[in-house]
Amino acid sequence: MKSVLLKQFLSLTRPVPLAIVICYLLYPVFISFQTSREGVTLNATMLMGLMLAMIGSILSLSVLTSDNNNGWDKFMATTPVSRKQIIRGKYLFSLAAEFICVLSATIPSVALMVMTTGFNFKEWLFIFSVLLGLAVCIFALVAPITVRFGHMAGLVTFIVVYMTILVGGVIISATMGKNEAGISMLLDMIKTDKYVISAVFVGVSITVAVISMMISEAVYMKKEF
Amino acid sequence: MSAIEIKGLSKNYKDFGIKNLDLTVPGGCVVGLVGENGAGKSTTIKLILNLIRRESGSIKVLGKDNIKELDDVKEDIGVVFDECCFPLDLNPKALGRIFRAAYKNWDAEAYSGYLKKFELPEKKKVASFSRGMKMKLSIAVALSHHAKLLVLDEATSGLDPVVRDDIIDILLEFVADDEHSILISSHIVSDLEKICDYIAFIHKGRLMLFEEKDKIYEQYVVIHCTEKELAAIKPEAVMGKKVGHFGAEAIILKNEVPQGIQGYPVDIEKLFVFMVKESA
Repeated sequence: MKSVLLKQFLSLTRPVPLAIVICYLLYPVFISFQTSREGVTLNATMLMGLMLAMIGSILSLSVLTSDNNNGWDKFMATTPVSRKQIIRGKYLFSLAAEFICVLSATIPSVALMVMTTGFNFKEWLFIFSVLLGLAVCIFALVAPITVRFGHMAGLVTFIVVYMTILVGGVIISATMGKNEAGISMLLDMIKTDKYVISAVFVGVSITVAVISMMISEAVYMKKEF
Repeated sequence: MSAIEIKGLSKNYKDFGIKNLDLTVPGGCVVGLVGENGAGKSTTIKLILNLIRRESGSIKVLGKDNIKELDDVKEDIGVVFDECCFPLDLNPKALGRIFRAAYKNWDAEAYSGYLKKFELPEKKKVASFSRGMKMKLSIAVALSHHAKLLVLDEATSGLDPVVRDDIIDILLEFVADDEHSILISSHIVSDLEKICDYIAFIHKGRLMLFEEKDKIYEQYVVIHCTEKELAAIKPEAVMGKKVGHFGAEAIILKNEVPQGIQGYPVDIEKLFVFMVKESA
């Protein structure tokens, strides 16, 4: 598995930092898209976080497809690295890439916190775990489809899932904005204990990722090259 | 111990299939798998390497079953495909690091030596390599983990004669002792004639002939005769024939050559072409 991780690292050494730099350069654009409704804010940090989470997922999924397309997976299947190790290595690295992308997305919010109210770890952990949970869940949903049906099917699924989340978020936001009871409930939930909510997001995303990996393993073991 | 033992191998696709194939690669030997495009050479190799699942039959590689026990012997198998399978954004040095982690027996010194011998730049990306360079890189990787068996699938296709000659020399060095074996598939029969001990003809998924190369030269000859003379020869002695306006050309068993007719040395390519056309 070490060879799989090393290969992914060497292949993604440029794209991941490049994606992060580009998102930071686009930060002024994200600021222009900021909007705020009663109690629900879509700020630049969140937008950048969503963008980086999406990019992290895309890069991770590209790792799955490009290796298949250029014959690398076929070749690796002839080496002493087992098929299970290949899939596990790809998953591990993909999740690590997502982690780095999302972590870097929280830097502006940390900077903002430090400059204004002071660094709040609970607040930062909440933002981080929501974004990471989102990114990991999207990857976990799309990865087995990509492994089984290939690049195009994975891409279509990714777009559908991402758009569903975005549109759903906008609808919920709009609905909550008109429903005072709904807003109160949401605010109470968020205020209650962000550590608990963070733990839930992380726990759910880990579970979903593990199940996804098991499905991908089962598919990959039967794959014919 | 045979390097590869295939018995009763079958695999069916919609329009094609491998049917009841028996093939052996004796230890310390080079077996050439000859066939036209779509004959089943690559399918056979993929079945051996368990890249695709067989439907019936058995395959043993270095004495181990190729499904249940292949992981035990992958360390000892070097594979070269017809296309470079390495990530184009990496360079040979990076690939060396990856394979050092993949193979317990990886020999970094040998790998560097092969890169120097093949004049492959260590820090240049694979994307900038020519086809010949990519193939040499694939061979360098295959030879750098002390493999006992090399499996090459159309490794010389699309290469110029100079590069093909270099590769043949390298393969001859590999089998210089009796410890190493090679299975090489190609439709460029002239390359196989230079290196192989055994030749296997495969056509439409069936094995038409499996024989020692030298015995093929000893047993078969080419004759030029009239149609009448050809008709007089026992059909089972005729491996293939071509009848034209000016007479007939046939490949037959040497001991069946009629009196008064001269037999000429056969070449493997002609034998294969005649056999394929005869079967059609």
